[in-house]
Amino acid sequence: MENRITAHPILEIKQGKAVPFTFNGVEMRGVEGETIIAALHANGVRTLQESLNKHRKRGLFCAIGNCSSCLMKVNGLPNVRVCIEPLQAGMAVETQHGRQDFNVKGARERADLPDLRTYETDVLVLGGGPAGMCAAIEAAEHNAKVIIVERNPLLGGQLIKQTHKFFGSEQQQAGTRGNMIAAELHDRISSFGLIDLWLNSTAVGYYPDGMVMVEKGAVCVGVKAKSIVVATGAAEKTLIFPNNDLPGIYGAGAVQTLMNVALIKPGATVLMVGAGNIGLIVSYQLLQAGVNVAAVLEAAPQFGGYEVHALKLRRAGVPILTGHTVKYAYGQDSLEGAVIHRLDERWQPIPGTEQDVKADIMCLAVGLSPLADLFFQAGCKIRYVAELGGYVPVADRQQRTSIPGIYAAGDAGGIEEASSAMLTGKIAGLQAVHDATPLGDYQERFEDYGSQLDLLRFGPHAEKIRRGLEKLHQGEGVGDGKC
Amino acid sequence: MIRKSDVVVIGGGVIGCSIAYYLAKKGIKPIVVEKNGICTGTSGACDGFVYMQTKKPGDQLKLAMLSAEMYLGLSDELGYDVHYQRPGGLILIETPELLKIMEGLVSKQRALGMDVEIIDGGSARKLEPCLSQKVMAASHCDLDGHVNPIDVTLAYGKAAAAKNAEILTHTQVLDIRLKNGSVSAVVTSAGLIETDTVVVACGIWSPEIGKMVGLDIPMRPRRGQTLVTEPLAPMFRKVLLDSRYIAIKHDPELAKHADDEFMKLGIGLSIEQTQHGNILIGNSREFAGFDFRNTYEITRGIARYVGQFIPFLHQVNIIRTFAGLRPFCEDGSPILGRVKTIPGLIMATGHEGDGIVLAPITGDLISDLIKYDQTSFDISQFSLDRFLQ
Repeated sequence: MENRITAHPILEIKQGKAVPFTFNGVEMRGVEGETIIAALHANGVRTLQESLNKHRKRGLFCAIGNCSSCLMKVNGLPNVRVCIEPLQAGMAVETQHGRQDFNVKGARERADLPDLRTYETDVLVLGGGPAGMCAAIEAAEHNAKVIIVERNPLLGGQLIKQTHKFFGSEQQQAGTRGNMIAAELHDRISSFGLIDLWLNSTAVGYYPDGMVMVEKGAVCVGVKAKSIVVATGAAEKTLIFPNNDLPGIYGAGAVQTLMNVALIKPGATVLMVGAGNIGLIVSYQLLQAGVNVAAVLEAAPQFGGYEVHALKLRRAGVPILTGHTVKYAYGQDSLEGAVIHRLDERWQPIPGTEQDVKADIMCLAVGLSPLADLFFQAGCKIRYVAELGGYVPVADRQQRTSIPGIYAAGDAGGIEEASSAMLTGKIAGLQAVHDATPLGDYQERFEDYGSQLDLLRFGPHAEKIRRGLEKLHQGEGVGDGKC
Repeated sequence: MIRKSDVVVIGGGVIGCSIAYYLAKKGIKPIVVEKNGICTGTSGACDGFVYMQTKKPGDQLKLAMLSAEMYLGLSDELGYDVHYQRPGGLILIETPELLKIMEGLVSKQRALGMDVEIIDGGSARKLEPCLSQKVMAASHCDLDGHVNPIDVTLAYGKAAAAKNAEILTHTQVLDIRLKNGSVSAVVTSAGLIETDTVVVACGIWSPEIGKMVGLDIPMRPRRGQTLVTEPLAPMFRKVLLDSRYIAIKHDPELAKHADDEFMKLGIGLSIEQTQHGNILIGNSREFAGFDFRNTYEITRGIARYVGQFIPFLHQVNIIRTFAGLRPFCEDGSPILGRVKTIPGLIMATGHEGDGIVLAPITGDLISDLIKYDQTSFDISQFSLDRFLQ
């Protein structure tokens, strides 16, 4: 298990219970309860399946159950997302080649009707990341009954993988590392009897009468709520270049999951693509995990992240190549390297500037798209706002969408940062309860959260977000709130 | 801009595109007017069954059989693979009551010379190993098959355009003008089209067109909801329906007086696997106006219902659902042919769930009617006139 991180400057290394499992019949060992993907990476397995039609090799990409890049056969059952499936002793994990078969005979004895229950609650929070956790806490503080639905086996969303200290003011826990904030919020949630936490559960549909269908473990249940806070987060964007599907090319979030949650060293040398805050921070975290960073590429003429993050990398001798992008990637079974080239001021490649970079991991930190599907399905008014990551629901300052009872929180409503996600979550949770039963301390709290949010959205680095919000709100008054 | 055309076809679904193709093939250049895009309505939100056993014994069955023959050579003729396959179909029977209904239907079909038979549960499981013990009998017919309905529609549309049919998408019909009681022009959002022949092939929207010329067309949308699984290796040897679905089709009253939850919801089973590997699991028959959405009860109901017959499906991931509105005509038959009271007006609508099956033959017959003023198959019993007397 040479790929496990055994020493880390920030994270505590815990010893889990070692359990055996098999990969394509070969005996391996993993840690009980970690994701199957973590166990496979610890054993050096990166190729998980082949694409259906062209039989191209596929590896991990998102690590949070969004994409279908990691489908494998587990204990005979095909198309299991191994990035979110916990490892159990004795599991048989297999690579998928082409379309999968089901054992029809084995299923034949189970011609039963599963019991499909319907639950009722005051506030249904979809997504247990920073926004969803804060919305749930805010609602529970006002005595509302809450259900949190979270697809992953762990609560906390992207927060649990942020090992850096947060900026902002004291109210937003500046100076605290993201994973510690997640742990505090988790403790707070556990302290409320009013919050029902559903892990490994996915909201799969919003229906005309306000019913939400949730895949809860192996069965589907219905949830009818007075208010719904959609805090589903975002999906990682990819970049178009030849061989961008080679195993070893990951989204930035997946790399963080591997090293900061699973404590797996994702590889020996990384080529980072994207020099926004995520690209810069993850590069530094890779250095901390003992991974060599070959270079950080940025297509724009300037890097987009904070100066302080860039300086840390420069001090460590990592080149940040602005005006550069990937021409193509190469590798037999998984990534071996990439040819990069320079772009001119009109974003066109400059011939003759090609450079070969050897790397066994490429990390794409090229932005996020809001997971707005449920807003679409519910019929919420949607706008395309590039500055906020793509299609986002039109929402007012109270986080109300155009459909009464549906609120947007966090990245699902427009890509910002974790601190703003926590605040939009608090506002959504507060408003959701207030709209059902008016609250005494509503005005005071709303103004407090609102002014904190304004502060986060102040300054030159938030210019893009302000422009996006302005576009979102242009001529689109919703409810009676000021936009 | 004022256009002139021999024929205006209203509707760019499978029926409209088929008619346009066969007209163009016979040397008549039609203009197809479609308010959205080609195949954006019912034809793009349905199953692809080309079933014979489900047809009303009589002329509907005969038409279906003629259409199935046309499907055999269609991919070659259109130069576009419509994925027609004829693996044979089963209609599953789970109760003695349903068996009785099916025996009645099958004996009528056999009397018409159709090769269909009732087999017992064990034989059905031999033909289709996925089936559970709940299946007590089935009717089996080798002629049943399926196509990809979207490919059929696009293939007809493209082939029609290649033969110089003009297809106006995102163009709405605003009015139909009459002169001395006969069709003289169609007013569209893209201008006037002078014509003496209009074909109404716009499915669920036909009553709206009818109103423009003072006709009351007794049709309403009947919704069907479908679940789509992840792509899998070929899992089914046959296309599958269940007898409940047939019973509800022929007698909507059954759903009203039913005592079990599925019958009440109008749910019956339909299963086919696409070329890509996705399994389409249906289906429902509901009257919900022009509501195109999936509902919680039906989605949940279909998922539960299907597992009784095909247990392994409980373990398969559903990746999508969709709903389509089918043009249901009050007496269960399509409306085809000329309207006696309005010379120049031709109907080709109201196929409900048979639009895909009947598209080739409908296109062929309607184009014959326009070109030769007669058809090789008597369609007078399908005329709108049956409602006007």
